[in-house]
Amino acid sequence: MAAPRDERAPAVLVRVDGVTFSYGAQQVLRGASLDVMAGELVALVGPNGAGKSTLLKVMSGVLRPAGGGVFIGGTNVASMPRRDLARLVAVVPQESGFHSEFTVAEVVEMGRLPHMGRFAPPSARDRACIREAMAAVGVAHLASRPVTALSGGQARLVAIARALAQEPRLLLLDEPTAHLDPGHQLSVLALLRRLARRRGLGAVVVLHDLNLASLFADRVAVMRGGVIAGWGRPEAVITPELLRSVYGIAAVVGSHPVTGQPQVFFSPGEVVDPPRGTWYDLDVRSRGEGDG
Amino acid sequence: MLGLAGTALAAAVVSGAAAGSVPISAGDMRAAIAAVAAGQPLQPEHVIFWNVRLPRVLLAALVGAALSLSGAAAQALFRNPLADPYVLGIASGAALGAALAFTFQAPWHAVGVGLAPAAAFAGALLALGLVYRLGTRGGRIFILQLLLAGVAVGTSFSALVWLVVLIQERRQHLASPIFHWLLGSLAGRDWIYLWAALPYFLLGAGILAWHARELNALLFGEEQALTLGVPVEPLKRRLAFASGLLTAVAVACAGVTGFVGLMIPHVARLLVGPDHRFLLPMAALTGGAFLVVADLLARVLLAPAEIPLGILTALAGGPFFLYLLLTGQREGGR
Repeated sequence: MAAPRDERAPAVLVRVDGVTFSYGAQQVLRGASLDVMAGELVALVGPNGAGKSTLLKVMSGVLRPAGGGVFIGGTNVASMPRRDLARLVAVVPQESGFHSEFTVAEVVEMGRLPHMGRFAPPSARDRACIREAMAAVGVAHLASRPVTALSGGQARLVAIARALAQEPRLLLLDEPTAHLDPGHQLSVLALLRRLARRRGLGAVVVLHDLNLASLFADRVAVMRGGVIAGWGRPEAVITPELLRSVYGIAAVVGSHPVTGQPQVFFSPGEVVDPPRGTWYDLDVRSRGEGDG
Repeated sequence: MLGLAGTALAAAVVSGAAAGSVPISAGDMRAAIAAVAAGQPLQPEHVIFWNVRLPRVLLAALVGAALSLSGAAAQALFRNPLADPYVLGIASGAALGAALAFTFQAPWHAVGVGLAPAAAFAGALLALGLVYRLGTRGGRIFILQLLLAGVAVGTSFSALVWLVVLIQERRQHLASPIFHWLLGSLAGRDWIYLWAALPYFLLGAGILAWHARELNALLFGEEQALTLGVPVEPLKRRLAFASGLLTAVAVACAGVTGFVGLMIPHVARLLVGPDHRFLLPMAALTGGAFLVVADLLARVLLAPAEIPLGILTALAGGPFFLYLLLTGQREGGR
């Protein structure tokens, strides 16, 4: 494993190495491999049931892979105590799960759980961290609001603030733009890219919107049938061939008139053929194992 | 807020000790306590207070606190406001264990009393394990299955308890005390019950207090708790252990007093919010006060007859459960 390191290359933060995973008899991950560098935002795209959410859960240690492994700084995630892992990896889930009447500040404080003592009140450092996390995502003015009273967009931001309060090195986000209006989608992604750049965080973001992925991601990883089918810079990955082979759609790929990044133009009635595996994948989804 | 609840509990304990067939004045209470503290023999007029009234009232407070804590733990464990040791059938499991222990009679009475919490604990864990196995799949909780499993397990264990009671009656004409205990009663509880119960209560309450912050994280669901650094599986096992322990000690002492564990955590949540660092002590204090008052009413409402405690708590708790079921559909009852 000790390949000679190029000093100029950015450090690999996380190495996902040939991960396999099955829900019962259904194999969902079939040897997925991916590297995430410090400071980069990776968009994870692919059809429903390709294994995106499952891969995220393996990366966060929620699920244990059957084969392969996820390594942070050379240490296998599966062998780390939960508390240590929570200081390295934070997750923004698809569902906020905010059903209890905690305030925004209390929820963000729970991001300090892996840093705090069992009974000790938050330290000065904890409190600074909580304040800063709320300010970074712009929810400081909601601090004393109950989380059950938030809009979907606000709840998503609070979940991101809680993740930041964990002071992780890797941030995993499962469809952080789902159910948000375009303004909130853009501001969440801009925030994530800024956080990645400024703090040297690695961020892996499951996205369905290829155009947003192209605009905000440093690299795009395309998942299909439980493996990473292709990854690289957006212009190398988001191509008509990819759209046809992965999603079964014929679409035109142009470039953004201002930034020059690839943008997909869909046409009505242009489904070529549903890619193989889709129905099996949808079956997995309908059993409630989650999308991707 | 906690101070207020503590005062309420203290007031409940004093009135509980004062009221009854023989009223006891505050002066008599002080004199009795002073006499015991000084190691002097009790005056005849103090015997009722010290040997009958006080242990019973303190035991009522302990049982109420135990049931409320157990309910709070079950509600966090199952992330559902309808969970409580009675609804989930855990209390019936505990009752079976305790009923078997109580078949020891004089001169083995002390053995039966000492054994009852442990036997009740075994029964509670058995019921809890069954309900959890039936109500969850792969760590996911299916609330309808869970409640149905609770009803099924609870009913089956209750049937077994009645069988034990009837067999006892035929064999030894011993059914009457067990019968009263089963409907929920603190009649005739002396210090030995309190001393037998205390270690179990302290252990169960201590486990919950130790994990208060992690209980908060668990409210977001098991996956989120995991990614916040909480070792969820060991935590769930400890919660089940503590909840079973607390249910067991309550049932062994006071029989089946339903719905306390359902109602009190809700009241506490309304008073101090969902944070378990405040919710747990609040539930213990209000639950203790509630059961002391309920036991007081049980003694005086139809005096000289006693109303079984379980009948009073069920009269209050049944409608409360329905209310939760009807209003909870929007949020908790997902």
